[in-house]
This record gives sequence, C-alpha cells and structure tokens, in this order.
Amino acid sequence: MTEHLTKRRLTLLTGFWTGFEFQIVTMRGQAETYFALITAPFFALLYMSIMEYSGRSDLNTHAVIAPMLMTLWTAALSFSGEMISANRENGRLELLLASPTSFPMLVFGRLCACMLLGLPSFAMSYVSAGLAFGYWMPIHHPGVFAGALLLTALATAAAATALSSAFVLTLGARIVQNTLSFPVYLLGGVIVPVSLFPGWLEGISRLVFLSWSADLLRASASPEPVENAGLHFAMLLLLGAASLAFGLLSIVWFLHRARQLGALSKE
Amino acid sequence: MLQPVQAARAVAQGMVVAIADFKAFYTWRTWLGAWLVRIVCQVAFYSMIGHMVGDSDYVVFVIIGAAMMACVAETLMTSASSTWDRTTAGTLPLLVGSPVEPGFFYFGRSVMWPLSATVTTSVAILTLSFFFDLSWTPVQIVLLLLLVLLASLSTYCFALVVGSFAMLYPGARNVMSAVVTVWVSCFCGTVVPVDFWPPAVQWAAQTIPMTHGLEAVRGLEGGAPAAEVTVHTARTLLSGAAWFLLSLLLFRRNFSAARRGNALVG
Repeated sequence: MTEHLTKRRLTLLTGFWTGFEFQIVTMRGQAETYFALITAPFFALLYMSIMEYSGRSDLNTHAVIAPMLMTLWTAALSFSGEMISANRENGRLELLLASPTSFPMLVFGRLCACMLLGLPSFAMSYVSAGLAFGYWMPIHHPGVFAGALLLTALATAAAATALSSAFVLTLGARIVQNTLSFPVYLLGGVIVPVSLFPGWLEGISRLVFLSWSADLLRASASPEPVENAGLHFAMLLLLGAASLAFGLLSIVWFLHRARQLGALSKE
Repeated sequence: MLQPVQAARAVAQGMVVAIADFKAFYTWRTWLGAWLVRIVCQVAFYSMIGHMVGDSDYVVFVIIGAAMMACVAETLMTSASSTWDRTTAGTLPLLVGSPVEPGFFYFGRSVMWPLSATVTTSVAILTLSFFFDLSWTPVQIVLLLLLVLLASLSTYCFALVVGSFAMLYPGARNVMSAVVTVWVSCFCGTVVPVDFWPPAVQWAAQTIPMTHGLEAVRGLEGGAPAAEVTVHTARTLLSGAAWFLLSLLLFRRNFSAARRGNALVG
C-alpha cells in the first residue's frame, strides 16, 4: 500500500516536472510568449499616465502591479487554449497516456512554467514606470510580495488548467481567449480595488482569486502593515486549490470520455 | 489603370470571404453573449479607473476613450485575418495567380471587423453613459454612430497596413496587432490628452486616424460647434485615406514578390 502511494506520488511529480521543463524549452520559440510579454511596458505607461495626469501619484503602485497580473492572465488564456488539442492533433496524446506519467499533472506543470513570464513582465512594468515617470516602486514587505506572487502564479496556472480542459470539452478556444480578458481584469480588481465596487459586485469579485492577489501585492508596496494578510493568503490558496481540483478532474473526465469514444487522436 | 468597377468587384469579392469568416468566427450567441460583453467590460474597466482617480468630466473622457480603444483593438484583428489565406485557408496561391488588385480585395476581406467594432463601440459608449449619467439626444446618437463608423473605417485602413506586414510574417500577427493597439491606446488621446506626451509622440499620434476620430466624438459629446467636429472628422478620413493608399502599395508589393516566386506562396 505504502509502495503504491509512493509510486503514485512519483508519477504525479514526474508529470509535473516533465511538463515544466518541456514548456520552458517550448516557450522560447512560441509567439504566445512574446504576445503575453510585449504589452506589459505599454500598459504600465498607460496606467501611469492616468495616475500622473489626474494627480493621483499615490496610486502609482496600482499602475505598476496591474500589467504583471494582466500578463499572467493573458499567458493563461494564450497557452491553455490549445494545450490539450495540440497534443491530440499531432498524435502525442496517446503516447503520453501510455507513459507512466500523470497527464493532468503534465498539463499543470506546463502551465506553471508559463507563469514564469510574470517575472519579466513585472521587471518591464517596473522599469518603464521608473524610466518614463521616475517612479521606482518600493517594496516594503518583500516576504508578502514574494509569497503573493508565488501563490498568484500557482493559482493562475490552476485556473488555466481548468480552462484547458474546458476548451477541449465544450468551448471554442478562440472565442474564450478573446472574451475572458477584461471581464477577469475588472472582477479581479487588478487596478481598481474591488473594495471600491458596489457591495453586490464586490461579492462576485471575491470569488476571483486575482482580487485577493492584487490587494496583497499592492499592500506589500505600502509602508503600513499588511492588514488581514492571513485571510488573503488563505483565500488565494483556497481558490487556487479549487481551480486545480476542478481542472485536474475535468482532464481525467475528458480522457475517460475520449477513451470510451475511441477519440483520443481525433479532433 | 484600374477601373472603379474592377475595384468595386474586388472589394465585393473580399467581402464574400469576410462574411463567411465572420459567420465561422461568431454565432449571434457568442457575438452578443461573449464578445459584446467583453467590450462593455473593457470600457467599464477603464471607466472604473477614471472614477477612482478623477471627477465626472474625466470619467466621460475615459468612457469615450476606452470605447474607441476597444474599437482599435477589434479593427486590428485585420492583422490576423490578412494572414488566413496563407495560413489556414491555403488560398493565397490562387489569389496571387488571379488578376485581382490585392489592396482592394483585402479592403473587402476583413471589413467585418470595423463594422462589428462600430456596433460594439457604440453600444459600449451608450451602456456606460447610462451608468455614469452621461446623456445623449437622439440626434447625437445618430451622429455618434456615424462618427464611430467613420473612425472605425479609417482605423481599418491603418490596420490594413499592419495586415500587409502580418501577411509576410504570419507568426507575429497577434504580436503586431497587440503592440499597435496598445501604442495607439497609450499615445493617441484615449485616457490622457495627446499633449500629455513629448512633442515627437504627439506628432506621430497625428498620423493615426483614431486621434482625430476621438476628438470628433468628444466634440460631439461636449457640444462643440459643428464646424469643429467636421474638421476633426475630415482629418480622420484624410489620414485613413493616406493609410489606405499605402496599404494598396504594400499589398501590391507582396503579390508582385509572390509572383516572382518568393516564399509567400511557397
């Protein structure tokens, strides 16, 4: 029994790391990588210009952090869209399933690697605001910042895993990729804190993990102590775990269904 | 010398493909329930920023700017659709072999985007106007639709130039449209006036039709004299026409190179 569990854990880990490493190599040549990254400095300039023009430089932190969160979500949408269907079209899915690795964890591992794009996007946003407007964002609580960034990346990858299965099960990937950007930026409070929304909208927004991430990341740049940090981290963890569980189970269900229909290699 | 009838026929032939592609891309349900909702959310996103940082005048400024920004983003989907004959449909060799004037054909080929953008942008402006107490008279609404249509079509001419380059580098089609969209959003007066930026950027922004289209719509909303709105509209159309002429040359150059046997149709 113990040996079986150890083997199972090993399978999950192997799947995750194989996916992670594979994606790092693959991303270098993919247009989606540059698509997700290239807009970050422009968005930083756009949002910084709003703050400076309206005399609200006290909100500059919002302008620097938002492009990174937007890049993470753009990457989630771009990369998850065809992650499973591409394996299906090029006949790789059957081979992957025959191997002893966990396919759902492989997908999650690949999407976690995509989240590495958050780091260069933050760097570009940070430098753009600094060079163009002389605003070099301070980080007063580096521990909170690093923790929030890590959990946000994992939660985004988890949400992308759920999306990847949704794309292949029911929805047209392109429509969803084009549609789910701004509704999530709005509800996720990436620039306007959801606490400023009307009560009913704030309630809905709190179900979007980005609303907790954005609050934490902004608070980490402020000199005041971070309020309710525990609650924010817990909610981020909970929503991320729920997305991951949903995503992994959806992929398992899809594979089961495709096996039944003999449709593993079909589109 | 190309006759007007031939040019019109090429545009009409392109439009046949445009309609078929649009139907394949969207159903009524996905266009209304997904795309239109996304555009309204985009404008709401920026309106909330305006509400957070400024007064009600600034919110109105941002609503119009953000809606026109969404118009640019949708129209720039021309960058992708200009590559589909090469990448997805595989019909580019047939087009290159035909006696069609490519610039006019491609003007018809992606025209679904500015037409769709006209509706989504207008709906977004009017929807957000409702939430932020911005009122329009019936005459203003008609003129708004007209100005948005002209701004969309002029921006489309600019997007065709981007499309002519995307045809050569189809892998970069989305990167090109994203960069151009966000550049226009940043520097052409959508959320801050153009004169906020350094002179060189201001000068470059004057070449973009949307800069003038925005001035026209804001003039209409603010009750500016008709002559002033007309001047801004004329500038929108003039800059659109200049980009269209450039796109004719670039598409012709692409096809000429392809007929000489370069990799475009390989």
